[in-house]
Amino acid sequence: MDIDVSQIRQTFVAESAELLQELENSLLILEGSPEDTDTIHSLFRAVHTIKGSAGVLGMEAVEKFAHAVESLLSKVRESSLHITKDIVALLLECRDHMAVLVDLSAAASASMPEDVAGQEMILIDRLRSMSPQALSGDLMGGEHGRAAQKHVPAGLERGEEGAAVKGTVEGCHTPQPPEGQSVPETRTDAWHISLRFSREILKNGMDPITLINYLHRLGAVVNLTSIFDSMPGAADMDPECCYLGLEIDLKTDAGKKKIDDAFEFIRNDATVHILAPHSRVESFKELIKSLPEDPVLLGEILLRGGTLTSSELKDALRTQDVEARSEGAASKRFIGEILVSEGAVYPEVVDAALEKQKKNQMFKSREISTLRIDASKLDTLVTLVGELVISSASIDQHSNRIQDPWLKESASLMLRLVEEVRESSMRLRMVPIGETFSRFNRVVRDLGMESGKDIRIVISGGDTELDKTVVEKINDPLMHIVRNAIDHGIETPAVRRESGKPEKATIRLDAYHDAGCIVIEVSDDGRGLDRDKIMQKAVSIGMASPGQLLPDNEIYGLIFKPGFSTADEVTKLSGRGVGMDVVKRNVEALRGTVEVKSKEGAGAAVVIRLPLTLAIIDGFMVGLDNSLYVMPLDMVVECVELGEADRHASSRRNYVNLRGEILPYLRLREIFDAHGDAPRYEHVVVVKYAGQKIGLVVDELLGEVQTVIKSLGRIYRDLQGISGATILGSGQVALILDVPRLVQAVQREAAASPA
Amino acid sequence: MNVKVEKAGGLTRFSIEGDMTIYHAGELKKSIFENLQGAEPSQGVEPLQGAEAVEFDLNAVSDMDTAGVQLLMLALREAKACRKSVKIAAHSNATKKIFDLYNLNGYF
Repeated sequence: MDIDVSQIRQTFVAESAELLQELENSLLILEGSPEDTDTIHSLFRAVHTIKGSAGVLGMEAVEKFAHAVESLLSKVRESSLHITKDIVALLLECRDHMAVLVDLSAAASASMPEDVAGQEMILIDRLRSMSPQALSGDLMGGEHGRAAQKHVPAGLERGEEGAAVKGTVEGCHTPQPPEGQSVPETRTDAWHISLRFSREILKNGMDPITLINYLHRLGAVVNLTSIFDSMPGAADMDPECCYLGLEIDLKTDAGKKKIDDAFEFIRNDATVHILAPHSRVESFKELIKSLPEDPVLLGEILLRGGTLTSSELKDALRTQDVEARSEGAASKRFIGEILVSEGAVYPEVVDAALEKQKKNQMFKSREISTLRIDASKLDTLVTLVGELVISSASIDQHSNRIQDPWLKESASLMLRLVEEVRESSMRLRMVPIGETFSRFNRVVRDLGMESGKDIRIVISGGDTELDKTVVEKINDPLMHIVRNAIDHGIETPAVRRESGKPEKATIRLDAYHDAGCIVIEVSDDGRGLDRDKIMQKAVSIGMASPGQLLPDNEIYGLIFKPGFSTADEVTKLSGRGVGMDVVKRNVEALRGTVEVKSKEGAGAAVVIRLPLTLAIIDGFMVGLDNSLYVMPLDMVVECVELGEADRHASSRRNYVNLRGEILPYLRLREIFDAHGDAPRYEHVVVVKYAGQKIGLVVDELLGEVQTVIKSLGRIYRDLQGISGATILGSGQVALILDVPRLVQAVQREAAASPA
Repeated sequence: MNVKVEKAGGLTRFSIEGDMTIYHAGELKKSIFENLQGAEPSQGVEPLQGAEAVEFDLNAVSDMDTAGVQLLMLALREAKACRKSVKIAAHSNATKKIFDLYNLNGYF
C-alpha cells in the first residue's frame, strides 16, 4: 500500500495544533478552577492523543516528551498531585515546547537544535521535581486502577466484602448500596481488566492466549468477553494482525502490583486499563468513554464494562420483553431505565454509556458535515461567482431590451439563482472569530504575569462570523492593541487600589454586527488616554500648533500617526502608541476603520470596523452627470428629495432639516467635479456609518445592483472618496464610493467650522 | 495444514487438519473465503453458491492460536451478514481449549 507520509504528517500537524490549543485552554481554565475534573481529563486526553499519533508516525521526540507530561498529568488525575499555579505555568511551557517539537518533527529535521534540547532537559527535570516518582516506572494504563483503589473505603475492603461477592457474581440484585457510603461504587468485587491489543502483537511473536492462561493462574476469571468489533471486512482483514479486545473480570487475592506486572511484557503491544474491585462508578464511566468500540447496545457496554454480569443483563432484557408484551410497543421502556429502576446499575454509569452513544452519533454526523478544502479552490470559486454575477446582469439587460416574455422569465429565474449561489458561496468563506479571540487568553495571562498585573479577559461575540481572510489578518492588529492595553493602559495593582478600582483589571474582546460592518472592540478598565500629554507631544513634534483646540476623537486619532510611535517617548506617555500606525494600516488594508474612545481614569476602547465581505456586495447605484457610482446598500438608510429651499441655501450651509434632525450633506457634484448643469430635482441619499448619518446629494437614483468589487490599480490608491470599481452588466464601469471616508470628511468639516 | 471443502445440498463444510496458527493464517484465510465466496453481501444478486449453512469440522486441528480464532470469528460475521448459519461441527482438544479460553462457545 502506498501511503503519502508527508500528507499524514500534515494532518498530524493540523490535528496537533488543535489539540495544543485545547491543551492551552484547559490549562487556563484549570488555573482558575484547579479542581475541575472534566478539564483535567480533557487535558490528559489531549496529551495522550498527541503522544499516540506521534508514536504512530514515529516522531520519537514528540512521543517521548508527551509521555513525560502525561506521567505528571496522570498523577494529577488520580489526585495524588494537586494543581497549583506553578504546575500550570510549567505545563504551559511544556505545551509550547511540544509545539516546537511538533514543528521540528513535521519538517522532518533529523536532529534537535541545541537550544531546544537544552530546554527539554530543563523541562523534564522540572517535571520530575514536581512529582518524584512520576517518571520512574510509571507507565500508561495503570492510572485507572490506582485512582480507583484510593477511593475504596476501608470498611468495604475488609468487612463487607463477603456480602458483596455473593451479591454480584451470582447476578443477584443488591438494590441499595451499603449504608454510610458516600461515593457510589459498583458491586463487582472482581478486578476489571480491559485490554485492547495492538495490530502488531501477533507478528511480534506474542499471543494473548499466554496472558489469559497466566491470569487463570493468578485467580479466577469470572467473566471474559472477547471483542472483535475493530476487525474490518474480509477483504481488508489482515490475517496476521490482531483485532482482539478483551474485557476480563478477575477474582484474585493478588495485589495491584502483581496484576500490573502480568501486563508488563505486553505494555507496548496493548492498551491496558485495570479497575480495582469496588471501583467508583466514576472509574467505570471513564472506562466506557475510553473504549474505542461503537456502543452497539447500551446493555452490551455495561456488560463489557463489567458493571453488570450477563445474567443481570439477561434479566433486564427479559423485563423489557415482558413489559413490551403487556403494555404494547409504544410504551416500551429503555434498557437503561429498567436497569436503574431494578437497582442493577447506577444512573451515572448509564448516563455515561448513553453519552457515549450520543457522542458517537454526533461525531458521525460531523464527519459527514464538515470538509476541509484548499483555500485557493474557494477563492477560485468566489472569483468565478463574481464573473457570473456580472454576466448575468448583462443577460438581464439584454432580455429587458429584447422584451421577449419567455426570455425574460428565464432570465429572472437565473438571476435569482445566481444571487443565491453568490450568497452561499460567500458564506463558505465565513468563519467565527472566536478561535482568534481565544488565543488572547494566553497572551493576557502571560503578559499580565510578566508585568506583575492581575488581569482577566472577558470574551464575547465569539460566534460572530467574518471573512476568513479578515480573521487571519486581524490577528496581528488585535495583538498590538491588547499588548498596548496591558503595557500602558492598565495600572499596577497598587495604583489601582489607590484609585479605588478592583485590583483585578479587565480586558474585554467583543465582536458584533452593525450596519453592514463587523465591529471588533478591545476595551480595558485602565487609566485611559491622557489627552493633555498626547497634545503636548503633538505640539512638540509639530503635528499640532500650540493652543489649537481639537475634539477628543481627533486627539486620540493622533496616536495612529506614524511619527507618534517612537517607543521610548511613548512609554513615558501614559497613553498608547507602540505600533498603532501599523494597526491602522492593516485595518485600512481590509477596507476598515479604527477609532479610539477613552475616558480618563476609567479606561479606553479601540473600535475596529470591518466590511462584512471583501469581494461581492449588494450595492445601491446612483447617477451623477453621465457617471455611475455605487455605495454599499447596507449603509443606505433612506432617500429624500432635496427641497427647493435647501437648494437655494446650499451656498451658505451644507445641512438640511431631516424631520427635525440636522443632517450634514455633501454634494457629490462638487467633490467629483461633475460637468454640466445639475438637474432640476436632486436627491439626497442618507447613509450611516459608525453611528453618524450624512446625506449625499446626487442627480439620479438608479436602484439596487449586485456589485463585484474590483480594486483600482496602485495609481489610484490615494484617491479620496473612492474605494474601488465595478463592472456593470452593460460593460460600463461604476466607481464604488468610500462611504466611511466621506462620513469622516463631513465630520472634520463640521468640526473645523464653528457651528 | 490442509483444508478440505465439501459442498452438498446447501451446506458448505470445511474440514481443517493441522495447525490453525499465524504461520498458516494467510493460507487459511484464502481457502476459507474463496469457498465462502458470495458471502460478501455486496457481491451480486444471488449471494450463495448453494451454501445456506456453513460448518467447520475442527476435529483434526492440532493447534490453534489467536490468529486462527480470529479467522473463524471473521467467517462467522461475514456469513451472518448474509443470513447463513455457522456451526462448529466438531472440536479437537486444542480448539476446545481456545474456545473456552476466549469464551466463544456462545457464538457458534
